[in-house]
Amino acid sequence: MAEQETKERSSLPAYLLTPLLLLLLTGGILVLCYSLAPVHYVQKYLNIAFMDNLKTNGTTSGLHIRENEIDTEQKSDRKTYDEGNIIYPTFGEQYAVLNAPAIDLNVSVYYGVNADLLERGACQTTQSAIIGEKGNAVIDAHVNTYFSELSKLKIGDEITVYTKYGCFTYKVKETIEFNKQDKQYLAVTKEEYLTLYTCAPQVIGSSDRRIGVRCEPVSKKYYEQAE
Amino acid sequence: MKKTSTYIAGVIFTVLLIFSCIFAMGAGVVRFRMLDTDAVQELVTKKELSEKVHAALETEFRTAENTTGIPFSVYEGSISADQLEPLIRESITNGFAYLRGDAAILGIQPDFSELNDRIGNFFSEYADKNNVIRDSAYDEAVRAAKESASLRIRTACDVFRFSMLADAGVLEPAKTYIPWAGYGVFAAFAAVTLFALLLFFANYQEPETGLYWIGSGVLIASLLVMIPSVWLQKTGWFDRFAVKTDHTFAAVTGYLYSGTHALIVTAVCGILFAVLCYLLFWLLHSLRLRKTALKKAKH
Repeated sequence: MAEQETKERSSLPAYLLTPLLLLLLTGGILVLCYSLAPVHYVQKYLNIAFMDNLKTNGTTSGLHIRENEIDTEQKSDRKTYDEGNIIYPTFGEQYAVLNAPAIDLNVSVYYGVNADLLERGACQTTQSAIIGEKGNAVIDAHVNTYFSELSKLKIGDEITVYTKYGCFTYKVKETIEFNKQDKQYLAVTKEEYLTLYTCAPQVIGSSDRRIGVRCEPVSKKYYEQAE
Repeated sequence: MKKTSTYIAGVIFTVLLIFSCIFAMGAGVVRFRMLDTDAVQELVTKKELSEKVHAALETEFRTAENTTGIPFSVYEGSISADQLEPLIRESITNGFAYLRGDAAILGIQPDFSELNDRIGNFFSEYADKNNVIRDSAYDEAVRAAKESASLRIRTACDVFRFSMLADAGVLEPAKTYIPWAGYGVFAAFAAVTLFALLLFFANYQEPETGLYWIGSGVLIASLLVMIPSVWLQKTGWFDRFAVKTDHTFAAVTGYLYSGTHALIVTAVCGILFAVLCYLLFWLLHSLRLRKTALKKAKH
């Protein structure tokens, strides 16, 4: 009996330490899996969806409109790069200024679309690409406010979008007209486009027709070099 | 823990048991909580979604007054919180049924005849007052106004933004994998059973030691699930959700918190099960030691 007890006592540390060993082992495997898995693809979308990279005080519901100071003067001594970093905006943030000299348009662009933001400027749909990254960046505004002259843009007209992270110039490639149900110009694309659209003007009631322009990039100037 | 080989086998099977348990907990919560329409419907009352949607629509229609010329009073009688609640519930039911593959079409088609009559009457009065000819352009404007109003209401009632996710191409891949959640639960529980049996088999000389390994596996799996879930809840991580439109924010964050809460509850159950396994192990092991000691004493 004494021999048995001694044997048991010697096994006791093993019984107590084994769960700890298992915790370290499985925790280690999980950390390894995390570092090996291509989480960076998801991370970008998590950052956009949950504002994790910006650490804003978004602890309450309700729209948080944030105005930014965006440099639209472009001093010649400012160093720029052809490839660079993008700062992802949060919903309700003014993240760009859109300038179209041909129609004398200079309007703030907010990230996200809702009634409050449309009152303040043009709005970028959150499911479209961010200015400066590959894909279709879709911006719209009311026809009776900021995009009232949008239909006057012609092929070849230049549009510049200033952001906190760079200055991007586009040229109008085609003028577009589509039904609001037709998503062909608003859909995700592999090519880089800037699509601007608004409602077709109508005296009373809302129109089903949408008018606008699709632009292709001419130059990109990032303020921070890509890591 | 008699032999090193038995111990190593125990460690290997327990590690596999831990991952199976984590997968089982995750798949179980997704299948029985996150995809359970009744559980999601609770959010409508809990988060006062109908009141929030009503407020959002009121703002939207009042703002639209500037662009469309249609006063808010035209819509007012058709978008009370009580009228919106069944539409929100139907949108949720349809969206989750679509994700599970139980509904072929995404979106709801409610009866807006009352609203359409109001819009029709407004246009008619406007045409009479302003001598507008009732031609095809007039008919088109009336039709467009009715469609736009119904679309605004349907979009607002789609609190989880299923239609937006579908447009962005996110819903189709999700729809492909989500129906597999049920099979995932089954596969995970089969794996858990298999590794538990292997642990008993590896310790056939002292079967109660299998209980010790199972208890350890379930305890660690529960801790690995519970710690991040508690962190997510306590830090209010989901409150950073970018879309701050009141009803979408309330619905999405409420949904995610309900998922993490379910994970915590599952993990607590796992911990209790582990404690039970340890107690049983201790009891059976003590009995075995006594029996062996008695046998030796008899000899």
